[in-house]
Amino acid sequence: MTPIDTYLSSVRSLLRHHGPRSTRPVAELEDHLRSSAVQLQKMGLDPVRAEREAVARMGPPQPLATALDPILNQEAPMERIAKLVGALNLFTAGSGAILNVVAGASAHIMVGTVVLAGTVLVGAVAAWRRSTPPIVVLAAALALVALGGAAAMWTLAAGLFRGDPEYWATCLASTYMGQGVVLAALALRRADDAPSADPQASNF
Amino acid sequence: MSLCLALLGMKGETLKGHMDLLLLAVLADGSLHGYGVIQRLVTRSGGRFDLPEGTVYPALRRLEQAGLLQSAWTRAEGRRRREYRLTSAGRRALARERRGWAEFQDAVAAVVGAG
Repeated sequence: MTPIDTYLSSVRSLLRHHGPRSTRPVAELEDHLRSSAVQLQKMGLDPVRAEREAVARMGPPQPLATALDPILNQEAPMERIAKLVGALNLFTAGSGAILNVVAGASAHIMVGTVVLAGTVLVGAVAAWRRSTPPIVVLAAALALVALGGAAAMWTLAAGLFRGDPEYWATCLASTYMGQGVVLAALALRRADDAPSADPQASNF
Repeated sequence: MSLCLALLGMKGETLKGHMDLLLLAVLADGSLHGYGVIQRLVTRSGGRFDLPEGTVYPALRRLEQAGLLQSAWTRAEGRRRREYRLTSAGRRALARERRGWAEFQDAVAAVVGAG
């Protein structure tokens, strides 16, 4: 491995718990180091020495990764909204499923809510950091569905549920909205963090 | 004595406190990628700023998250490249920072010059 490759590998390793968020800083550092090495070669250094000097000028990887940590940890507003709506979605799906079974509403609504809840769950898992173990994500999602179910049971026990068709319309609308927001958030984050495939592309 | 003179030969730790103003000022002339920012800092300071080059990236990201910069991927010399530029909020912040810097410089010069 060349000095630049070794350096980038160290940074990548130090930032790996940020998952896809680490792609952008690593790509920026690579561009910087290679530009710097080219410049140093023009000044007369041989390729290996130029790379070593470029790496030395960049500074050690550990303090850089430490400085990037809180910045990469900060969530974009869209991600926060996606998580909130995704959580509400799972809650709604749980309560919808229970009310469908116990209150005997039409089956296709139940299937719809459950399938969409699954989609949202997958989206939520993809949106979360890789540092969050999948089992924790799954447990949280199931807990939200169960909480929704418990709320529905309570609603029935308290005699508050009237089987109003508008209730089901609201359930479905919120489910679709949640799915849309999660997918939009994922698309936005990809667009922001992933290096563009189009050589001339600029998002300015 | 000008505080600008006091910056001569400054090390990274000392420069950190002035990093926002320096980065905003460097980007006031147009968009640049990280390496370009460093190059311009070095050129404008006459090569007297001595800081690990990697320190600009957390600062650039912080300013971007604050809405003072925006960035986009471009491609140059066969490599993907993230370019930064000032937002209108960034231009206003730069104007504020410049005024603050001038006031600070005047105040210190008045005290130090009196001795």
